[in-house]
Amino acid sequence: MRRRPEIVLLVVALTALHFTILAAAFIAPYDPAAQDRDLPYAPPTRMHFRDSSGWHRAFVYRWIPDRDGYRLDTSTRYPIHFFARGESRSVLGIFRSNLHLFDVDEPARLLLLGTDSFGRDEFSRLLYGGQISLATGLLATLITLAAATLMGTIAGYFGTWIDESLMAVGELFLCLPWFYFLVGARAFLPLHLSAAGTFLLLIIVIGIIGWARPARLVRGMVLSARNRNYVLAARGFGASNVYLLRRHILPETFAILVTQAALLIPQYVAAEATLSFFGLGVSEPVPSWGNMLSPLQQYNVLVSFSWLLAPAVALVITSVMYWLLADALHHWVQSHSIN
Amino acid sequence: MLTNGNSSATSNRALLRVRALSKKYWIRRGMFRRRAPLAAVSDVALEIEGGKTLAIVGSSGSGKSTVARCVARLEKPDSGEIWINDREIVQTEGKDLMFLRPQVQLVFQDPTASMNARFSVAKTIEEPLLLQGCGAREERRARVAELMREVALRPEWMERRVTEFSGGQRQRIAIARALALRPKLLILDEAFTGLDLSTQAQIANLLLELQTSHSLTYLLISHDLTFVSRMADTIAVMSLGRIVEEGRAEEVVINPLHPSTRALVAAAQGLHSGNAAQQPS
Amino acid sequence: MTYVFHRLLRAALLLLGVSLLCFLFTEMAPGSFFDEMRLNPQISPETITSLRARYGLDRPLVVRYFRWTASAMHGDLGYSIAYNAPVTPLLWARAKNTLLLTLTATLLTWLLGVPLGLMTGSARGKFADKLATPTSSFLLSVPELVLAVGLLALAVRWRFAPVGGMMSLGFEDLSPWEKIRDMAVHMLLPVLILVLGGVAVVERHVRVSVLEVLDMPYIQAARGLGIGRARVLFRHVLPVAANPAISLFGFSIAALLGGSLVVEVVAAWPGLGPLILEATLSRDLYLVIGAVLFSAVFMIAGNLIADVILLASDPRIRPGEPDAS
Repeated sequence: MRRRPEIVLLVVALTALHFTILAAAFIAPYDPAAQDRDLPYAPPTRMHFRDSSGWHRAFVYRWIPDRDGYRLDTSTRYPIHFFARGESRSVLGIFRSNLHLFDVDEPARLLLLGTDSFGRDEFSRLLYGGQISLATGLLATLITLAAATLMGTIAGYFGTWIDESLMAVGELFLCLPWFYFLVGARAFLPLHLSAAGTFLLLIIVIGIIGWARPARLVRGMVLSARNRNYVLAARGFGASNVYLLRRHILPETFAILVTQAALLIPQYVAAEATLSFFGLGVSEPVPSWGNMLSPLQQYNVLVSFSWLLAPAVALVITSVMYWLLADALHHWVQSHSIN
Repeated sequence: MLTNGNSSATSNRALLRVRALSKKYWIRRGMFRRRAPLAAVSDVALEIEGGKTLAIVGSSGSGKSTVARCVARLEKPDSGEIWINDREIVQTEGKDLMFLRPQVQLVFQDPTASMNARFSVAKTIEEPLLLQGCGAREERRARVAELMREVALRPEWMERRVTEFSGGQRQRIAIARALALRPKLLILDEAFTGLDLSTQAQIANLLLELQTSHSLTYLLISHDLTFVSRMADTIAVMSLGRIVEEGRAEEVVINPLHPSTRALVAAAQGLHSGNAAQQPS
Repeated sequence: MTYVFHRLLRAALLLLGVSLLCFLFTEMAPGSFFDEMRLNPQISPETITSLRARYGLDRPLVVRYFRWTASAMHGDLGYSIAYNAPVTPLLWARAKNTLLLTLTATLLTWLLGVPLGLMTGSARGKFADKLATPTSSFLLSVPELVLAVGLLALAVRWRFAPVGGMMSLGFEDLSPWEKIRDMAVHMLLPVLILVLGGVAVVERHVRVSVLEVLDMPYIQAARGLGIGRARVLFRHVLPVAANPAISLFGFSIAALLGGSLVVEVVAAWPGLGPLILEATLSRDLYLVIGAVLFSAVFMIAGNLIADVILLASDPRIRPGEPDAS
C-alpha cells in the first residue's frame, strides 16, 4: 500500500493547525473578551530587532492614540517575554494555566493582528474563535457521518421497502434548499440562548441536514459488499448479520467515510461561519470566525482596517487544506480499489 | 438410480437425498406491474451415496447453481425436502441450523470473489472455525496449517494476503476453508471454470485424493460434461429447472438420450478436440 | 413515459413531505404565534381574531394542515408581521430579483465553464491545464462567504462596480436602455461572485468527464484510425461527457432560487436572501416558512425539469429500467 506523500503532509499541516487552535490559552497573548476602550482599531504592532542604539532582543513599541489614528511611541522599548507567566486562564475548560507563549509589559500591547472596534486583540480572538468554528465543523461532521452510516447501512443491507423509504426521505433532505432551511430552522429556535446552548444546537442542526449524500454512498458500498460471495460463504459458516456487518461490510465503508469527512468538515466550518456572520450562530462576546467578520459589512471598516480580514484568511487556509486532503484521499482510494 | 422414496437396497447409506425441490424467483417488471415468477428449479430429486460424486450439468440458467445453494442452505427453497444423513434441513432454523452447517460446505466458482481481498490466508481459512467457536487462537492456527498442508500449500505462507496467490492457489485456499469444519458433503459450484486446463487437472486430482482420505461426498456443478465425467460417478442433466436425464457417468456421456444432454456432449467434444489438437501428445 | 410519471409522482411526494415539514415548523414554534402578535401594538385585535378564524387555530391538527395546504395552493402563504402585508406578494417581488441575478449568473457560468472544461480536459498537462486546474481547485475550496466578502472589499476599494442595491437613485427617470445598463452595473458584483464560484464547479465537472471519456478504448481507437482531434472531441467525446454535465445543470436550475443567499446579503442585492434573513432575525414566522416553501418548490420543480432533460438526452435511461444514477 503506497502512501502518497501529499496525504501525510496535509495531515501533518492540519494537525499543526488544529493543535495551535487548541492551545489558544497558551498562545494567545490576551483574553478574547478583554476590551481596551483606548485602543479601538489599532493596527498590528510590528516586532523590531534594532533601533538607533543597535541590536536588541525582539521588542515592540507602544501605540499612542493620535488625532486621527495612532502613532508609535518610539521612546520606550518593550521587550517580548517568551514563556512568561501571566493571568490564569482556563485551558479548554479542563484545567487552568498561567503560562503564556509570549507577553509584553504593560502598558504596551502585543497586537499581532491589531484590534477590533472594542480594542480586543484580534489575534487572540482568532485563536479562540477558531476553537468554536473548527469544533463545530468537526462535531457536526461526526453527527452527519454517524447518521449517514446508520441510514446507509440499514438501507443497503436490508433492502426492499426499507431501502426505498430511507432513500426517499434522503432525497427529501437533498432537495431542500440547504441554506434556506438552515436559516429557517434557526428561526424557530429561541434567538437568545446561552453560548453553550447555541453551540450545541448549531452543531446538531448543521449535522443533521447533510446526512443524505454520504448515506447514499455508504448504501452503495454496503449493497455491493453484501452481494459478494465471501459474505455468502460466511453465511454458510453460520455467520450472523452483526458479524457480517462488522467483519466484512462496514470495513468497506471506511475509505468513503474518511473522504467524506475531509469534504464535510470545511463545508460545516463555513456553514457555522456564515450563520454567525449573519448573527444567527454564535453571538457576542464569544468569538467565532464568522461573527468576527460581521463588522466588515460596514464599508469603511472593510476598507480602512484590513487586518480584520484575518478570520477570512484563516477560513481560506483551513478550507483549502481540507479540500486538498479530500482530493488526495479520493485519488488514493480510487487507485487502491483498482487491484 | 432414480429416486425411490425411503431407504434403498444400496450398501452405503444415501448421504444426500433431495425430494421435490422447487424454487421460484420473482422478477419485477416496471414499477406498477406485478412481479412475475421465474421458475428456477422445479421438482428436482437427487440422491448421492456416501463417498461418491454426483455431478449436475446444464447450460446457464438451467437452475443447477440454485440447487447447489439450496442444498447448502444459502437459500431457502419454496418447497421440497433435503435430507442430509437422514436429517431434514429445509425446515431447520436457528441454532439447529448452526449445528448442521458444518456438514455441508460450498466452494464457489470465482475464488477471488469468494474471499475477502483484505484477509490473509490464515484469516480466510480460520473464519469458519471462528464462527463455530472452535478452540483458542493457537488451536485454530494449528488447524489452518494442517489444512494448508492438505491442499499442498506451504503453511509459512499463512500470513500472506489472498491476493498474492494465483487463481489455482486461491481455489485451493477456498477448498481448505471449506474443509475446515470437516464437512461430509462438499459442493463445488463451477469450481473449475475460469482455471486453465493444467490447473483444473491439478485441482481435480487433489479433490480425488481428499475424497478418499476424508471419505467426502461431492456434488459437482458444471457445464463442462467431459471434465465432469472423469470425476463423477453419476451425472444428472438439468434444463430449464428440471432434471431431464440421469444415470451413471459413462453411460450418460457415451449414450446421451435427451437433446439437452446431446448438445452438452457435442459442445464438450468440440471444446476438447480443439484443445487436444493444440496439446502435445 | 412511465419514467416521467414515476418522476412526477416522486416530485409530488417530495412536495408533500416539504409542506409537512414546513407546516410542522409553524406548529413547533415556541410560544403561540398569535400571542406575540397580540403584544404588537401595530396590529389591531380585529385583525388577530379574523386571522385566527381564517387559520382555524381552534381546529384539530390535521384539519389545520389541510387548510394551510389549501390556502398555500391558492397562493396564500400567511401574513408577515414585520411588513404588515401578506407574504406571497412580498415573496414574488423578491423572487423576481433573485431570479434575475441567478439566471444571468448561471448562463454566464455555463457559457464560460463548459468550453473551459473542454479545453483543459483535452489539453491535459499543457499550460492551460496547469493554470486552470489549481485556480479552479482554489476557487472551489474557498467558502462562499469569504469569496463574497473578499470581492466586496475589492469592489469598495477599487470602485469597479457600485456596491449595494439594484438601481441607482433616480432610476425611474432613465431611458429604457439606461435602465438596463444601470441594473447591469449593479449586478456586476453579485454576478461576479456567483460566476467565479460556479465556473470552478462546472469546469471541474466537465474536465473530469472529458478525461474519463478520453481514457476509453474507443477514443484511442478513433485516434488510431486517424480521426482528427477536433472531430473526436465533438462527435465522440462531447455527447458522452455531456451526461454528468446535464445532471449538474439540473442542480443549477434547482438552485436558482436557493443558492444565492449569502451573495445577496453581502452585496446587498434585494432578493429572497436578505428577506429570509430579516424575517429570521425578526422572527417573522410566516414569511420564513413561505420563503423556505417557495424555494423548496422551485428546487423540486428544477430537479424534475433536469430529469426530463436527462431523459431526453440519454438514450440509456428508458422506461422500466432501474435508476440510472
